[in-house]
Order: sequence, then C-alpha cells, then structure tokens
Amino acid sequence: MSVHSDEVIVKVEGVSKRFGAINALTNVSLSIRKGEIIGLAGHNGAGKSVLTKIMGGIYIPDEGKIFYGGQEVKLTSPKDAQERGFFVVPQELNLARQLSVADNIFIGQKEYANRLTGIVNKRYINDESRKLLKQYFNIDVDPSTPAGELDTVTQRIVQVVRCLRAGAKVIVFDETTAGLSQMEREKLFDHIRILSQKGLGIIFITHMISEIMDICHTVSALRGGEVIGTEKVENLTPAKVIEMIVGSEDHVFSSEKSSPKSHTLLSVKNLSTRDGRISNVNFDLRKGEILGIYGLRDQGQTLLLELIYGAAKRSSGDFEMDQEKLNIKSPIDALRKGISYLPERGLKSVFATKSIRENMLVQGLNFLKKGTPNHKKMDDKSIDESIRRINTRGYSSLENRITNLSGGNRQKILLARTMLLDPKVLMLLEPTQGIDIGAKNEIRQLILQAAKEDKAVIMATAEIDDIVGVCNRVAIIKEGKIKTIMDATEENRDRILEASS
Amino acid sequence: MEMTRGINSPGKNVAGRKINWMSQELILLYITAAFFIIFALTADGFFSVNNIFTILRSMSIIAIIGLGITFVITAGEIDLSIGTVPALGGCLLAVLLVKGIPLPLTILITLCAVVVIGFINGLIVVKARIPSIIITLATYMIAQGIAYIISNQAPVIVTNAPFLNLFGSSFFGFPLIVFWMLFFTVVSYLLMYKTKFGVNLAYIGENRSAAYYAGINVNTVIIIAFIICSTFSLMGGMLGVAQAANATPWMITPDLMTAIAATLIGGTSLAGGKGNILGTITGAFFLTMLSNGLLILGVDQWVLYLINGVIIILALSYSYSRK
Repeated sequence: MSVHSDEVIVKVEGVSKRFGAINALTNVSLSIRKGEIIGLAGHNGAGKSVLTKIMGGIYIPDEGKIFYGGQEVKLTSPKDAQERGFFVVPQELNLARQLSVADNIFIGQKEYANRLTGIVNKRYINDESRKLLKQYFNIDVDPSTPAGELDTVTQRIVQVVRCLRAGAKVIVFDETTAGLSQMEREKLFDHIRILSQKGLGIIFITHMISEIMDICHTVSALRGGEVIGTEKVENLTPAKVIEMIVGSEDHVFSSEKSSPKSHTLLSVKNLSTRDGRISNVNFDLRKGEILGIYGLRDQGQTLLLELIYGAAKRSSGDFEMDQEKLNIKSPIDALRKGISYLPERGLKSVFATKSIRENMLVQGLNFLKKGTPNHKKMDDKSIDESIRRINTRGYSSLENRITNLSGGNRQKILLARTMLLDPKVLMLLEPTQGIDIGAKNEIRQLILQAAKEDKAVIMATAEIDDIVGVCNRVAIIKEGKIKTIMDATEENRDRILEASS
Repeated sequence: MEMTRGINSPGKNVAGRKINWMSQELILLYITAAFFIIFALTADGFFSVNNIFTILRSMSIIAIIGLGITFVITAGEIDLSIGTVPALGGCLLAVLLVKGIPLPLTILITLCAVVVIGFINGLIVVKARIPSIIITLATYMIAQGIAYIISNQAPVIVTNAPFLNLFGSSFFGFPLIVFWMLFFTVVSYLLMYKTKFGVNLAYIGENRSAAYYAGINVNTVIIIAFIICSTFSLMGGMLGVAQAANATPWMITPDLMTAIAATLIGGTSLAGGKGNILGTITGAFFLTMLSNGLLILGVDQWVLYLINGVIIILALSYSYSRK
C-alpha cells in the first residue's frame, strides 16, 4: 500500500505559535514525503489548521523552522508557499460557478490571457485543461462547461487541477468530504490515490476516523497544539486513532438506543411535490423513536423535512398527529403543532452577529406562552444552566456572539433552542456534520436523550455512524422516494449502504 | 402588541454586559458634544435658549421621519418614498380641510391613505421580492404625482385652527412640534425594544432565512415596518403643514437624505439587524445643529449639502470597518 519514497517535500521542525495567551501550536515537527498521504487528526482547535497555515505561509511561526526540498525557508505570504508547491483545497467549493472549467483552472496564470490585449487564450486553455483532466484523472469533461454544472466530486477535481497546473507538490485536502455520499467519497479517494502515485504529497484533514483508515498512509494526531504521535496506518486501529485524538477518555460512541413506544405519533401519507422531487412518501413515527433518513447527496432529504415543516409547498400529502389531521402551511403552523426543525448549521439557523442569548430565545419569544413552565426557562440564569448542562464550552457570557463558539458548541446551542419549545417531533438535518468527534458524541447523546423523553425524532444525515449508532429505523431515500425502511442496526450497516447507492 | 422582556433592549443591565464606550452611537454623542462646545464658543447667539429651541424645532420633522425609516432599515430594507409621502399626506390633509371635512375624519382618511402606501411597499417587497430601493423609488414618484395633482401644483392654505393649534403652536412657550418628536421617540423606543414586533424585526434584518425557519412571521413584520415608516412620514408632513400653515407638493422632499443620514450615523446598520432609536435622534440633532451653527458662522447653505455627504461617508466607513 505504501507508495511513498523517502524524499521529503516539506518539513516543519519545532514549530510553535501563540495567539495571545493561547498556545495554538507547541514544538510541532512534521514532514511530508513524496507520494505520502498523511492524515491530520484532532478536535477542532487542536491545531490542524494552524499547522497547515504555517506551512502555507499564512501564519508566521513564533519559533521553529520550515524546510521546502531540504532548504530552510522563511515564508511571508501564501504566495511564497505556492511558489514552492504548497496548495490547499478548501472545504468550500470555491469555483466561479458561471465560468468554464478551463477558466477556473487557468485564471490568474500568465497563459490565461494575452498580456497586451487581455483577450483570453480560449483554445489554449481548453486544450490544456482537457489534457490535464485526462492525463491525471482519466476524466473526459468538456472544458467549456460552466463549473457550477459539474457534480461535487468533479468540481473538487477542478480545484485540484488548478493547483496542479500552478505547480503543486503538496496538496492539503481540508474537510473536503463533508456532505459527500459514500460513493462520492470513494470516487474522490481514488483520485487522491492517483495524485499520491504521481508523487505528490497529500495532507488529508478530516473528522472521520474511517476515512483516515481508508486513505491515509500515516496519521499525525494533534491535541491541544501538540503532536501526540505519528504512526503508520497499518499499525493502527480506529480505536487507537480515537485514543490518540481524545486522550485517555473513552469516546467510542456506544450508548443504548431509545425504546420506542407502540403509540404512533406522526403519520406522513402520500407526500409529493408537483415537480416530483419528493414523490409518494409514507411513513409512521412512534413516540420515542428515532428515524434516520439516509441516502446519497441531494436525493430530497432537505426537501422532505421542509415539506413536513411547512417550509416548502406540497402538491399532495397528509400529516396526522395522534390520529388528528394536521393542516401545516408554514413553519409557524408546524411549531404550533409541536413539530420543530433544525436545519443545517448556517444561514438557515444561525443569527451570526447576535449573541448566544438572542440565538437561544428567538423561538421561545414567539411560541411560549407567558406563565408556562417553559417560558420561565427563558431568563438568563436558566439559559446559562441549560447550556452548561449540555457541556457548551468556550463562552464567558451569554452576550458573546454565537459565532465565537466552535461548530460543535454552536450546534449544542441550536439544539437547546429547539428543545426549549419542548417539541413532540424533532427533525434534524445533518446534526453532526463537520464537528469534532467529542462534540459529535455529545450531540448524539442529546438526540438519544430527547427520544428517551418520548419525543419522536427524524434525522437526515449522510453519516452512516449516526444512523447505526443512534437511529431505531432508517428510511433509505433515493430520487425523492423512500426505497425501503429497515432497522438501523450495526448488522445492517452494509445493507443500508448498499440500498442507498 | 404583546410586550416582551426586551432581549435587545440597549439599556438592559445584565451581569457581564459592559458598556462599549466606542460604539457608534456614543462616538456620535462625543462628536456632537464637541461641535456643540465649539459652536457655543465661536458662533454668536448659538448658545441661547432661543437658538436651542430653533434647533429642536427644525430637527423634529427629520427626526420623526428618521425614526420611521429606522424600522425599515432594521429589517434590511430601505424606503425612499419618505421623500414624497409627507407632501402627499400634507396636501391631502390640506385639501380635505379646505373642503370642510372635520379634522378627525380628515386625519383618519390621510392616515388610511399612507397606511395603504406602506402596505403596498411592504407587500411588493415580500411577495415579489423586488429590491425595496426600486419599489419605493416608484412609490416615491407615484406619491409625488398624486401630491401635485390634488394640490393643483400650488400651496394649499390651511386655516383650521384646531389643527394649527394641535401641531403648530406652543404650550407655555414649549413648541408642540418638539413635544410630538419626544412622543414619537418614546413610541419608537417601545416598539423597537419592548415589543415582540421590534425583537422579531431585528432577527429578520440580521438573517431573514433563519428568522423564517425559526417561525417568525417574516412577511407580516416587514409589512408592518413599512406601514410604521409611512405613518411616521405622514406625521412629519402634518407638522410641516402646521408650521407653514400651508401644504405644498414639494415640501420636506429635500429632507429625505437627511433623515436617512440621521438614521445611519446614529448606528442603525444598513445591512439590517440593528436598529438604534436614540442614535437616530442624536443623528438628527447633530445634523441640524451642524447646519445651524455653520449658518450662523456664515457658511453657505449649499456647502452644507457637501458636508452632509461627507459625514454620511465617514459614518458608514466607520461602521463597516468594525464588522
């Protein structure tokens, strides 16, 4: 499996970096060899991104040395590092969606346009782009296609080719698999392996232990700004990697699942949209049950939840709660009937310039009646207690902006806000996406807790670990239809993956 | 409207909350104080009870219209029709009074007219999703056209004594126009910080999508903000009519930018999400005092436009640089 040579492309030695009182990195050494895929593992804030930013010339280290090709260098800007072959493929798909594939690969480079007239060398960049895509990845893409029309993995590849064209020797993949389906992930991994075979060094950053085991040759685990260890993957087990990341604490998620009551709480009948992106969806949900929605990307997961929530328009479909028909036309209707929905963390859920308190209270203000026990939970002391109880860390006051918190802690606040209304049905979209393993397990625990309090939960997620670890049953969604519903047991893991593809 | 506990109340004293001495509204206050002192020392007759009342009187209309648009800007929208709605309201009111319609009924009819304008502004913004700057520019022109038509393009003289007394006179030497400004300030303060409407408005302005998913009735709240804005504009128009004892179809229109400027330098964010009632009042005072002081010092009135423009640029640069 190991294809890398001993030739080191980039190396850091004894690097430290402080931000104010915080030691972001302490005496870190790491080297990346030709053809090596090295996984950086660690919690949010463990120092992974600071480390890559130091190698990439974005931060200047307080102490320590950086070597490129065996020579010590002083980097002062990202451009310095790029000239030496260090490139980052960021988490977001940062292509200009309206511009062509070739434009995206060549823009900013001197061959892109005639220097005098500014006219784009269209034929040249198209030919070159086609060649590069074929030669490296054996993909045939028309280089004049607008980048936004490509599927996610191919867009990633365009990002990569852009780096290659600019002379990449080391490429960092920073959380580039978030939101990808199993199949897409494997496709991306095949492409990354090709890069490694061509002698590039790869730094792979992910929260998913299974991905590290799958693709990396070597793992470096960081904790609190220090490298805890660097090991060959063949000498490791997933449990060992987790131990390296979290220390001695036992963080493997194994919690008893909830036991649903026999009482059916919510029935969804014959749910469809006019354009057919959701068609004829039926399921029952019992009290205390967690139903997973699992499928490839964009099979209608978001739309399904938003239809039930009244945030999208259905052409047919009935909802019944406790045998009573619900007339849901807007989120307001859904919330009044006890159906809550927590969208993906971000634009649909976070008030970025508002405080933790304001983010906590937005729903309670509108939906809790004065004098009810839950309304009384809206004062500062109760909020503070309730979010401390779920281990929210990283704030000194409820006045702090919510965006000062890490992704995992933000998600806890959002969950707490949803729980403040004491909903009967809780719908979650990708509740653990992009957060570190410690927080992930805490969120899973909170979801299980909700089910144990007799709430019914619908959870759409692309993470199979969430499905088999938390859900009672799983509905496989494909092209807007529920293909099958099965028990979400560990034994069914492979069947679930198979059914979804 | 149900009172809430005012989670975005600026004055709420919570453990751990510190006053930000460099916030935009406080900086505006320092600058206002500095200019006040400079004018008091250099401009003859500036620092007199008479002149202070002149400033308060002349700022009132700008302040009330500015308060109205503070709500719209907090929602992340803009309302340019405040440039002509006061004239439309004023002309309609004057024409009806001339026709002998009783004052209460006249006010009710004009109020209905401007509420309809605000409603239409808001409805088109939320339903057709056309940028409010375009829609309200169109309603600006419509209101202007109607004002010219109903006034027959000439001043309409108002002699209705109860009206002039209620909005234009003084009470033991205290100009009622200033009283109305204070009254609307208090109303705005309560609306913005102590009602569910005001709190929801700030959420909507900050992130409309998240507000929708959190279950806020986004469309209704935005429409109400536009209606408040039109209603406050009408109040500005009525005060203008009472001051001059006539209504013209071009009255108050030049105050459009000053009212928006007062709001923006007062710390209300053009991006939405943060409305500052007391900041708007301070802004209106500052701009009015500045022109008053400079006029006393002999600066040409047209130069004041230039100065106001520069002030808006500086204030916006400051507030954006801190994001």
